[in-house]
Amino acid sequence: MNRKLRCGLLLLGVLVACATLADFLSPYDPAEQHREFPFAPLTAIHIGTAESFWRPFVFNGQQYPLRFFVTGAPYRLLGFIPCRTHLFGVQEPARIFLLGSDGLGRDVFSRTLYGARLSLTIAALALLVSIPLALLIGTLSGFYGGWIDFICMRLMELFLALPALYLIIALRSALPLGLEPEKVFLAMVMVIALFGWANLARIVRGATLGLREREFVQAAIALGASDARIIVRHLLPNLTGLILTQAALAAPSYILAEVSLSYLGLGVPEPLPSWGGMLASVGGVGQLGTYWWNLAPGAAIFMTTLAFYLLAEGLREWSDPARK
Amino acid sequence: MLKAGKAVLIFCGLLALASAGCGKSEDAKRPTGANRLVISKSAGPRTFNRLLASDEQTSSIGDCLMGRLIRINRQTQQPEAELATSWQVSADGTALTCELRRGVKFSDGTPFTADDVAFTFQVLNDPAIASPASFDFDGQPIKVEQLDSHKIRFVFPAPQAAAERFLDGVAILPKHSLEPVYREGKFAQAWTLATPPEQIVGLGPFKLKEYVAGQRVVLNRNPHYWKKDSSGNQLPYLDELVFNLDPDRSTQLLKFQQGETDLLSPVNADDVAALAPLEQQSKIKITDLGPSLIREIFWFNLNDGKQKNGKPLVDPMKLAWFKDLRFRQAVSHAIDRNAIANLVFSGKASPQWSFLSSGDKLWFNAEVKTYPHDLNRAKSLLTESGFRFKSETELVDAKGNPVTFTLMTNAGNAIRQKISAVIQADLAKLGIRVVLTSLESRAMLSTINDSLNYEAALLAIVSGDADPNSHVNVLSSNGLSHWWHPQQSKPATDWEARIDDLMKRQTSTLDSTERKKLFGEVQTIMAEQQPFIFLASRHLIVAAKLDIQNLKPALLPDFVLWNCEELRR
Repeated sequence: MNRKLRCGLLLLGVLVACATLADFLSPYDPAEQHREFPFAPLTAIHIGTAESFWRPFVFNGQQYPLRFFVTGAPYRLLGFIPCRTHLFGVQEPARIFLLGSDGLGRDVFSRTLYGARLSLTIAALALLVSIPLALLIGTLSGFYGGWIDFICMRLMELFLALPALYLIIALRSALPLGLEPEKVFLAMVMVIALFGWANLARIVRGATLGLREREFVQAAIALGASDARIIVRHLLPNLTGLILTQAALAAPSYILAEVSLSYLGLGVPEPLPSWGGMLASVGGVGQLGTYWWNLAPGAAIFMTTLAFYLLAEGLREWSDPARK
Repeated sequence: MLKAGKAVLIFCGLLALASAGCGKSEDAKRPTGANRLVISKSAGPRTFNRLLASDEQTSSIGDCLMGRLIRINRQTQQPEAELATSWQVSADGTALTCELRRGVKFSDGTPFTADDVAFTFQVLNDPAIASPASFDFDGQPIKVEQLDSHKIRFVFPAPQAAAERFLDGVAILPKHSLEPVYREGKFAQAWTLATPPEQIVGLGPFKLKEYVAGQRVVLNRNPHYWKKDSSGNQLPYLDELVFNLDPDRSTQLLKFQQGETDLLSPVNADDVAALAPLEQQSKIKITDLGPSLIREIFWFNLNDGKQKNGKPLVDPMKLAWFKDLRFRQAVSHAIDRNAIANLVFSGKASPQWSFLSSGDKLWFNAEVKTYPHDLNRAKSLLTESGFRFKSETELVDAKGNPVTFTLMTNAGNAIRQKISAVIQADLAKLGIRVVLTSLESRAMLSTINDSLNYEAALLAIVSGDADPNSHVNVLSSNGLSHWWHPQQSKPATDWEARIDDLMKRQTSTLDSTERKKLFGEVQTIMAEQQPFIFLASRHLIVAAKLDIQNLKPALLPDFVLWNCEELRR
C-alpha cells in the first residue's frame, strides 16, 4: 500500500465513521430549530471554570460546562440500538453550535454530519448500480465488437449527450408531487446512476478492446474456452484495478450531482439535511460574508472529494502492473 | 454528462463572487455625472409599448416614458392630477369627465389633445389587441366621448367606484405616430425592443435614448415635458436615468455596494446586514417602509373537481379535513408567525392575519380574527372536530387515518424553503406530518392554475393597487387567482357567495365610508374562514445614496421611481 492510498483510506474511513455515528456525534437532532438562536456564530469553548482549571465550558450569561456522554434526543445507534447518549452537549439554556447555526437556528455541525450520511450513501448506491451496468455493457461491447459494439456505443453516446439537468427537471415534474423523502432519495440514486454509467462503460470497453488482443486471451480463445469463462476468468480480474480507480473517481462526481440537484431544490426535501440543500439555503452574496459558517458543507464536500481522489490516485499506482 | 451540470452549478455560487472581482463594468467607466441616476433591474422591458405588457419591468420603465391622465400618488395612495387637470364623477357614478391639460406636447413636439386619449382607448378596447391594461365590466367596454379638444368623458355601463384609479395604468399614446400602424393592423409590432429610440414618443418626463439587449436601458430628459416645480423650473431634474440589467440579486447587491448603482429596491431582509457598514459610513440611507403589500400565504386545495382520468383532484379523505373550518383554524393557530418574521426575514417582516397588509392603510381592517401561536387552542379545535391524538406525535382523523399532507412551493426560493421548514416543524408539534416538495416556478403555477392536483401550496400574493377593485381576481369565486378553488361556476360555499355579493356591492358604491365597511366585512370573512392562511408581510426596504433628493419611497410599485421627474442629486 502506498502513502496516497493510506491517506485516502484513512480520510474516507473517518468520513464514513462520522456518517455512521452521526447521531451519536451530533449534539442535536438535525431538524431541531433553536428558534432563539438564528445564525448563531460558532460557539466559543473556554477552558477553566471556577472549580477546575482545565474544565471546558461555554458562556451564555453564565458558565455552562461542556459535558461528555450526555443524554439528549433519542435515536437508534447504527439503525437499531435505541439510544439517548450523545458524545457531548451542554445544559440548556446554553447551546453548543460547533459550526454555528443556520437561519432557523439548526445546528450546522449536526446537519453536516447527517448530510455526510446522505451524500456517501447516495454515492455508494449509485456506484452499486452504475458499475455492474458499465461492466456488463462495456465488456460485451469490447469483447464481441461488431453490431453489439455499435449498438452499445450509440447507447452510451446517447446518455453522454443528454442534457442531464434539464432531463432531471422534466423527470421531477412528471413524478407525483407528494413523493416521500425516501422515494425521492431512491429516485436520485437511480437518476445519478443512469447518467453516470455511460462514461464508465466507455472506459471498460476501451480496456477490454486492448485486453482482447493480449496473448493470454488469444491463448484462451485458441484453447476453446467459452466466452463466459474468458470474460469472467481473464478479462474481469484484469479490469479490477481500473474499475476501482474509476469508481473512486466517479464517487465525488456523484456526490456533487446530489449537491447540484439539492441546490436546485430537486433533492431530498426537508427535514432531511443534505449538503446541497444546506448550501442552497445560504442564499445570496449578502449572507456569504456575514454568516460564512453556513458554508461548512462546502468544506465537507472538499474533504470528501479529496479523500476519493487520493484513493483513486493510490489505487491507480497500486494496480499499475509496471510497479508489481 | 453529470460533469457539465455540476460545473454550471458549482459556478452559480461563485458567479457572484467572480463578478465582484472582475473589475468595473463598462457602465462604471462612463462619467458618473451628478445628473444621472443608475439603478439595477432584474430584466429588461418586454416592449416599449406600455399597453401591450404589464409586467413589472415594462411598467416601471414605461411609466418613466409615458404620461397618464391621473396618477396614484404612491405615498398617499390617492389619485392626483397629471394630464387631466381635474375630473368629475357624475352623480350616478356612471360617467367620469376629465378636463385635459392645455399646452402639453409629446416628446417630439406634437401637441397633446383629446384625440390622443380617444385613440388610446380605441386601442385599449380593441379585442384584437388584447391589452392587459384593458378594463371592462362584465364584458362591456368603457365608452369614450370626446366633448371638445381638451375634454373627455368616460361612460361606464354601471356605477363604478374609484373609477379614476384605473387611469393610472393607461399610458396615453400619440395618435399622430401610432394611428397609421394601427390602421394597417400592425399595432402589436410597433414600438418593440428593436424600434429606433427616436420613434418612441411619449408624454413622460423621460425619453428613450438607448436600449442594449441584456445590458441596459438609458433614458434621457424629455425637453417637452410639461411639469414644472414650485419655483417654475422645468422638470425632470435628472438628465439621464439608466437601468442596468442584472438578473442576479447578488450582482445587484454588489454593484450597489461598490457604488456602481445609486438605488437598490427592494432590499432583501437578509442583505440589510451587508449594507449596514455603508450606512454607518454615511454613504447610503436604508429606509424600512414597514409591511409591504406582499403577503406570504399558504392554503389547502379545496377543489372538489375531478382530473381528466376521472380521479378526484384531492384525495376525498384529505379534502374532508381541508374543508373542515376548525382544521384550517387549528393549523393557523399552530403556526408561529413571529418565528417566520424573525427567522426567515431577520425580523424585517410583520405577522399577517388579515387579507390586507397593514400597509394598505386606506382599507386595512384591524378588527379581524387573529390566530396567535397557541398549540392548546389548536389541539382543542382539532378534538372538537373529531380528530384524535394517537400519540404525542401522531394526529389521526375520526376514522383513524394519520393526518399528513404535501406542501408545495417554488424551488430555488430560499425564503419559501425556510417558511416551509418552519411550518413543517410547527405542525409536527400538532402531530401532523408535512411532506415538502419544491417545483420549478412555472411548473408550480401551472399546477395551481390548471392541473389543480395538489394538496397545499405556499406562495405570496401582492396587491397591484390600494383599492378593493384590485382584489376581485382573488376574492370572487369565479376569479382566476381564487387559488383555493378557482373559477367556480357558482359559489361553492355560503361565505364565498357572501364575499361575491360584497365585492359586487362595493364596486358600485360611490360612498367611500360605505365601501370601506363592505370591504371590511370581506376581510372579516377571510380571517374567519382561513381559505388562505396568511403568514407574514415582509417589510419593503429600499437603499439609496445619500445625495438623492426628493426620494419618496412607497409601497405601491414602482417603489422608488414613481416620482422620477422629481428626483434630483
